Amino acid sequence: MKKALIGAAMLSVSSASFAVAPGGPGCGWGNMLFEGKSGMGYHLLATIVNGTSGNATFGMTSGTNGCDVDGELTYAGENMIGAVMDEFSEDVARGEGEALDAVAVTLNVAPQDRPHFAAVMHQHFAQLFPSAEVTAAEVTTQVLAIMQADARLAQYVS
Amino acid sequence: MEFRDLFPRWIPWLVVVWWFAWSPVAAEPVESEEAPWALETLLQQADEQRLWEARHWLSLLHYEQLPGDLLSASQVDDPRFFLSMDGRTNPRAELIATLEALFDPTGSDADRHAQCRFPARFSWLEARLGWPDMKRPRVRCAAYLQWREQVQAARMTLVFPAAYLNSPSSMFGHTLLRLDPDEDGEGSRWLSSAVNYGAQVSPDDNSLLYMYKGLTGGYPGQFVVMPYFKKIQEYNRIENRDIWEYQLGFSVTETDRLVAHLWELQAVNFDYYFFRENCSFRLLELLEVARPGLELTQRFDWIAIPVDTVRVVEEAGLVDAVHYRPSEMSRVQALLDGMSPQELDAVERLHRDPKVGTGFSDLPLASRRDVAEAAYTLSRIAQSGQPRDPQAAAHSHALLALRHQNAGGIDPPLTMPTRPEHGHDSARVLLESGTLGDDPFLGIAVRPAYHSHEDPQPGFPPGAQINMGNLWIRAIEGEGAELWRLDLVDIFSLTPRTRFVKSWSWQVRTGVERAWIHTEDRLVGHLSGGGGWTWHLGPGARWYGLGTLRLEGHREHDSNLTLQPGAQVGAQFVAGGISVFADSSLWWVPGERRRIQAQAQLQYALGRNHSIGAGVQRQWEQEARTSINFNYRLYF
Repeated sequence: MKKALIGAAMLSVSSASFAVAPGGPGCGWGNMLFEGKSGMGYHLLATIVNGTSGNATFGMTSGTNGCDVDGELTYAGENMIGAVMDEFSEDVARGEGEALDAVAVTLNVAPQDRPHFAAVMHQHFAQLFPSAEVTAAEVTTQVLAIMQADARLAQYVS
Repeated sequence: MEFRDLFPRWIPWLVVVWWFAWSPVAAEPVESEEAPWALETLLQQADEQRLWEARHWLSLLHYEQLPGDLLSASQVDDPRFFLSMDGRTNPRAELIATLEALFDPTGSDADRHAQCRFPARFSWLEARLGWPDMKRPRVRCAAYLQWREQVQAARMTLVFPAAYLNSPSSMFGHTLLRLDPDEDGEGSRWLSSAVNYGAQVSPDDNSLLYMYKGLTGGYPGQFVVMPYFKKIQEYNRIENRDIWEYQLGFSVTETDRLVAHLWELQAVNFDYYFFRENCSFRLLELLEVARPGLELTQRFDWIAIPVDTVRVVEEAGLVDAVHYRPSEMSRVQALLDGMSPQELDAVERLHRDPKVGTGFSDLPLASRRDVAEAAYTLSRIAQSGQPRDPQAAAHSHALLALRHQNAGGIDPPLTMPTRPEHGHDSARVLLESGTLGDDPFLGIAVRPAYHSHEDPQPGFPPGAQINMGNLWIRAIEGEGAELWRLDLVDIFSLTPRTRFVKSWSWQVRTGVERAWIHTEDRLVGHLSGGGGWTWHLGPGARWYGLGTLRLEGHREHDSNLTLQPGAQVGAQFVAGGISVFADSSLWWVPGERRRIQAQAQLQYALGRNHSIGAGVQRQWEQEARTSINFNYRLYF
């Protein structure tokens, strides 16, 4: 099921190069998931009662942070990059980390190839994140292109 | 035992089934016609067994067993959750309605069929009553099955985002549940499903209404399921709270039972009450559903503090392993703590300007890595919770590129702090004796929650005081017992300012207390607040200065209400089992004498839940007076 979902997502990636940018408008690097809600009272209460406003996701409905295409529980690779773009960029810079792992998992990269995926992404940091204004869609396109050009990772994008 | 009890009843029932199966009536086995028959037998069986009284049935409906065999109404406040009109108050009616609905012939919308909406009720009733599979209508629950594919759950982890000092609302912490797939090295914890119970806040209300409604049950509570990385982002990154993860020893079957019940609770409203029927209480209820017979909620009569619920889970032997996930702030602080002055200077230069200046290139690789990491993380923390600022983003991006040039993993020398559930218990009783001037006194104070500066430190963030409902009674020689003090709310947060993070310190306190006015201890009501700064003074020591404002009222005062500006200076020291807290305050009372009060309290922890100490206080108003106290504190 999961593999099928990801497979379908990959297809859509390679055919139509993002009619709708994953991450949506307003989602760039350095976003820190600002949710747009402000006001001391709101923030206090939200923390106290662990509240959420608007849509209650149950793995079915939309997320709220402007970096997600949807709030589904199962993330395909490109949605995942949009949802954790800051963390992903940090791990790419470091060359390791849980965000890199999570993106590799959603791209269906097998466990034995994940260290290689991390190393390759790290080598291409400047290509993936040329500036702070890079969008999730651009990063995703680059991730896929880099994988395509790599002998071991190409199998996951074809 | 249950099976043996059931077994004799099965035999006649099977005979009847056998007879019907071969009878002319059943010659054309149309399920919808057979169903009422099977149902009648089942209803009779359910009645004989008094199934609606079974603890597990009541758990599935969120009824609560009150003392003296009384039963509360269900805590679910949502008609969609009940199949009977009386379901909220009558578990028997709900059981009958559920059985009837389960055997309903399939309608047009299979996903709305009771078998699909209430899979946990379904499998429990099936296990207790045991009907042959062919006797029920076949319903294919597409939505439920799809959801179960997404929520890969073989094991459970209890997640406790601890308090963050400067966020008062987080001070009690929070708990949620994480559903993890099988441990086969294939997955990522980030992609596990987080189950969160919280109030559904309406963003249209104004701020004051938020607070009031949130605390009084005005917002409905709901369960929400989302990928775990969103919770990491929320707590570790945005709110800077450490996360503790407790892997629980539930079997796959038990986990499965919980997930099936969770589905029943989708979009279902509970009444949310801050003090008891909160996130932590609801999670305990879920765990009770997972393992029938487990009793976790009984311990919480009127308040469920998240850390106490963690404690109960641990004491029940349910915790297999613990994992600490430090916040960004904790990580960078650990990194900075291990740095040389030269490295700290380099961090500060980069923090101001990401262009590599002198001093950075000379450092060895490991140092450059640490320095770049710290400078980058600090730049992101400064932007946390803010709308995106292109200039700040460009600054951070340059630092990240620098981090990339100095690659490699970093293991900050992070010592795992004392686990929060290993701190002292939340409630406290204090016994004291001493003198007020020349008058001896005895005192007792009871406080339901949570932590004072002088209480044993391990497990709590240093510098965080939060007390609720602290009631203090003193019997002074010749005057009898009298109310000495009642703190409804008492929050005093001392976050030191560092070279890189400029925090505020503040306090809010309200209640009634005795004030030393005209040589008398007069009962006054007050609302006090203050703001200022705290600095490190050395290992385990900090000092602070605050400007304060106090609104005070009492009957005998010339004017009923006075507004008193003031100032406060003090210090806190914690080392080993010793904690010292010293404070001096000054209030200017309009039209009266100014009041000054200086005090110091020394406490010594005797193990986790006991502490002894002594204090001295001097007050100046019309006259000066010195008081002394010796006390014993018991936490429970």
